[in-house]
Amino acid sequence: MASQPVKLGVSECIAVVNQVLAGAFPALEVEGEVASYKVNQGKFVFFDLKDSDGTLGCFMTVWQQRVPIEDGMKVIVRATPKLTPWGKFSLTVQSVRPSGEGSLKKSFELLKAKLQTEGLFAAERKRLLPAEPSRVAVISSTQAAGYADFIEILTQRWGGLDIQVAHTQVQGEAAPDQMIRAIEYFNQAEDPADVLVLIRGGGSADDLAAYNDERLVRAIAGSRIPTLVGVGHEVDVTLADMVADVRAATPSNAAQILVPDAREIITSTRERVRRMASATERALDEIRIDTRQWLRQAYDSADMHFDQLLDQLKSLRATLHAYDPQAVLRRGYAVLRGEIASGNQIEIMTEQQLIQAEVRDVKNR
Amino acid sequence: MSKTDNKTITQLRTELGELLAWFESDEFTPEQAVDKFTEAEALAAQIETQLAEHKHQITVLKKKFDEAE
Repeated sequence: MASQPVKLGVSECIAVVNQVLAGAFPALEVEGEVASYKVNQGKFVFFDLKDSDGTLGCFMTVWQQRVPIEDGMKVIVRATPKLTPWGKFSLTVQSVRPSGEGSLKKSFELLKAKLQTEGLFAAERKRLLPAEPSRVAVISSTQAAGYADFIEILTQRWGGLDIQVAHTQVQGEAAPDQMIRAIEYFNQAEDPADVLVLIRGGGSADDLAAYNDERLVRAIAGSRIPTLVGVGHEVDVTLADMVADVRAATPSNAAQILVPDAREIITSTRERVRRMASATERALDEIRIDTRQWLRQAYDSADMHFDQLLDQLKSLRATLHAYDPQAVLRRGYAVLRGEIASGNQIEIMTEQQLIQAEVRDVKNR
Repeated sequence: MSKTDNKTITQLRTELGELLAWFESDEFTPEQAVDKFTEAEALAAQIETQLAEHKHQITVLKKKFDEAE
């Protein structure tokens, strides 16, 4: 039996078609090359998506467009197919992302140039991180290898940090908004952390594309907490890296930048104490040497005085010896005792004898 | 930074640095050196202990960031 034709008004027909399309494609992604890209009134974005055999018109708002696109770029759009009231078929785009290395690079360069013009990467905007932070806010996926590396190095190097971790996606369409919300959360804290760290391990250009999202980059630039970003490997550079106050080459490097190495501090502390010990020893040695020197000088001086005294004594003894009566007697002289007058008894003393004698006569010479 | 006896590692290191400066200054006297050196050794030991013993306190927030509030 032949089915009965459905009779609908134009608007009804359009509504039914849209209903069928929505039912058929609840989540639709279309890949193609951008053509005829234009923005109307600064709000509405129109472009065509084409491949070798077909073209689809696309519509979205400027607010929904998170990455720059231009004609010739290969993109993937997430969209709802729709028949407009004017009977034109188009895709109402919820999000667009570059597809393929070339387009990712192109989009990166376009946004980089735009943000550079605004001065977001300027060196004078960069703030210093605290030398020894105590409170650290981390935005990453706790399941990611990069996060594990970061925590491991941080633990190896230092201790006692209060680390608050916001677990977010680090790749895919939802990642930028999640990270932006986490940035806002930490920035709104009454007592904010000393440093805000965004980390993610290595991945393909597509995996890291979340860190090239314009709104995320602006959120990092607007953070009142100083930012440290370590995304991917050393060769990977994202716009988030460029806008951060400090860029780390990897998550491990972020940990190295964030905290000093306790082992180095212990070594330098021991070195300081050793220097103090050396200074003390040196000072005591100097005192010891000086004391010995002074003692030696005192001894030499006393010795010299003693020698002089000995010499003087020797000379005095010689003089004294010269006056010794015994010495005169030894030379043959004699000592007379008694009054020299005729008939008087006198005593004569020689070296060997004591003679009693009588004076017989006395004459003047 | 981690704390012990109400002094952070940074404060302890600053004190140690000041002591070292005293040892290298003209204020140095052998009479005071022994006491100062003992003080420095105690500070160094405190720093090492703090560094060795203190662990990070890691809190993964329960808050979800997948939806705008």
